[in-house]
Amino acid sequence: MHVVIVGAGGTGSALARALIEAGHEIAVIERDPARCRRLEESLGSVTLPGNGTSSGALEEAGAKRADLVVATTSRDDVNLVVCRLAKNKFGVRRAISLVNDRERIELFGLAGVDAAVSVTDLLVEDILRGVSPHGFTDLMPLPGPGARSLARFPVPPNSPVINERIRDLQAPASVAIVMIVSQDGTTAVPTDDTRIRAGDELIAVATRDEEEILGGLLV
Amino acid sequence: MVVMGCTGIGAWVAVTLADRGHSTHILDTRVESFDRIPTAKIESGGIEPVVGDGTSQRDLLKVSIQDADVFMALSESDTMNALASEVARSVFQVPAIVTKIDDPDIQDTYNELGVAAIGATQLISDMVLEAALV
Repeated sequence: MHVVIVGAGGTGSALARALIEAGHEIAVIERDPARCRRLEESLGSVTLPGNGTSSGALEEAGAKRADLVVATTSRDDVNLVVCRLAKNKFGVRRAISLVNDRERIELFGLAGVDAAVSVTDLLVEDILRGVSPHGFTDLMPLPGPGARSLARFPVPPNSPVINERIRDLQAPASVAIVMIVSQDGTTAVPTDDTRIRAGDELIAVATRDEEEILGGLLV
Repeated sequence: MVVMGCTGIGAWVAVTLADRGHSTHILDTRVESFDRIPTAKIESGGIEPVVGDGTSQRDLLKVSIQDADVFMALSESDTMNALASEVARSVFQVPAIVTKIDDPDIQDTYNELGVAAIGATQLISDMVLEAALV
């Protein structure tokens, strides 16, 4: 995959590194020569000094053949125009943007940006995860009625349910425990007779209220 | 009428609109930019200057964007003007939007989106060519 990244700040640089490690071809457009140099020291010649809202720079970065353009600058106006140019002028199939002001997430969606990522929201989510007494994590909301999500429940080392079977867990009947990830990373689809081990993580489908109940049972 | 950016062009447009009897709000992030508007125009109520960011939904509500017939983005930044125009269009459904975008490629892109994008580069080079090639 060829990916054009605009902005070599913290997010842009980390993304560039991850994409290269995953075997993708990248070009990073960055205005600041010092940031370009810093990135090239570790990743080789992947940067292009210039302005991401300039068609010339985008073209040079290979926007015409890019599968994805990602705008990662700290300015929402720049990110939006980068995505507009990528999609409308260069016909790039997917554009993803960082959104610095979370008020604009909806707008970026209306403007045809395929994924608008708010750093603030991600941080808040992460902090709340640390705050939650049960430590469960929403993985993704599921479609359909009932507002259910896929969620992850780490079993704490001193949990009262260790060695109990799934059938003995007093979880609401509508909660579906769909997978167990063991401490060594192996995954298994549990039956009613599967026993919960220390260090397991339960992956379950539940509503927000059910998540609280299940989380409460594990501590 | 809502004008974003009390630049030389923004102030001139706002004054002309007010002279023609349009109720005109002008937004700028810096209060000193409003020095470009003659005090009499402000005192008579023809132009209402408001300190605020034309790309912010909250600040646009201060100038009653939801009732605006026309939104004009005339700040010095192409990208700020583009963002503000998208907010006016997608969030507030302002019927007519005029935006100043000097980069010809960004200007084209926005014209294709149905925003009236006007750019100094294109306008002036057209005029220069016309004058040079007669």
